[in-house]
Amino acid sequence: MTLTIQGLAKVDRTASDRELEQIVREHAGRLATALVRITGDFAMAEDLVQDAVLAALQRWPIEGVPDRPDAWLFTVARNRGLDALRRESNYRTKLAQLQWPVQPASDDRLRLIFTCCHPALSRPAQIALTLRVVCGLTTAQIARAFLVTETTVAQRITRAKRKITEAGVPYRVPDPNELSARLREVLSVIYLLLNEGYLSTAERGQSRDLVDDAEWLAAPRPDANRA
Amino acid sequence: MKYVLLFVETEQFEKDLEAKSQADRDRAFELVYKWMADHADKIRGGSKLQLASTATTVRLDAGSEPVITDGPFVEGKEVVSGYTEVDVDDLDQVLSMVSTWPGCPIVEIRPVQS
Repeated sequence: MTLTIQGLAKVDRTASDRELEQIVREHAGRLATALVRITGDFAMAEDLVQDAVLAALQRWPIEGVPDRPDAWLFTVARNRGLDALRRESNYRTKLAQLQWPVQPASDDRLRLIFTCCHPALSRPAQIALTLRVVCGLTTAQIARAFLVTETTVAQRITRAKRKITEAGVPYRVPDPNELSARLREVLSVIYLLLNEGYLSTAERGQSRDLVDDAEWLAAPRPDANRA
Repeated sequence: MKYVLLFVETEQFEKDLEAKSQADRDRAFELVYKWMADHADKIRGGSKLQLASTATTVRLDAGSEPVITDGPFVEGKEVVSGYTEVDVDDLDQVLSMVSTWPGCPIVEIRPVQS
């Protein structure tokens, strides 16, 4: 690489990184949701999103930010996911479902929130998992917001994801008869997020993120009734 | 997915059951049998166990020889009193089953390693 290109890449990096950060915040949840639905595997879906973000970090500063960055991220994640799916016997049917945007998106996110806030998971795990998978915050951001070490957050998330897989925690919106109890669980998590963001001693930008995420999660969803 | 339900009794539960009249006790058992019958399609066996006082524990990590002791492996107010294996779609199905369990006050749900 020549000096010029290095210099150029450096200048562009800040701009494209900022854009990427915003896109990840806006779309990470939906991307993970779409991939969870297809792969049925939390850890894998998250890894795929991370792979795609990593690819964006490397390529956007040089190639420029694509016209539809969310679709770009999804395509990269999907392509990497295909390798894994190919190993599964039913990959052809799943392959047919792979498209972006995935419909209906908000129903899926709702399902994801209910899975992350399942009462079979501890409260700290529910919060960490929601922030990570639904809101797309990094382990470091979550650790800063809740004044615990990154290792602690990473362990909580890993353990929670393993429990979801191994204990058979379903990926669905609860039936109407169990909805009220489960909804309380979800609302508690959202309330804690808002509170933490509002009162947090963590850096201001981070607190703002938490408040935004809590508001976004709590916002009325017109199509939620169909879920 | 398969899960084992470990039914756990407490001292209080045992006392309450003893304090009941025979008719009330029979009724309590009937509720349990009815629950078992209602979920018969998901239940893959299991048993009610004899009292924890009949347990014998063998420790193999206490030296060169196995150590045999009287009683359950943890002495406590809460003891496993029975188990059932169930075959269902996911954890929520077990949870909804267990939420109407009319017997002992604690149930531990453990997924079976496949």
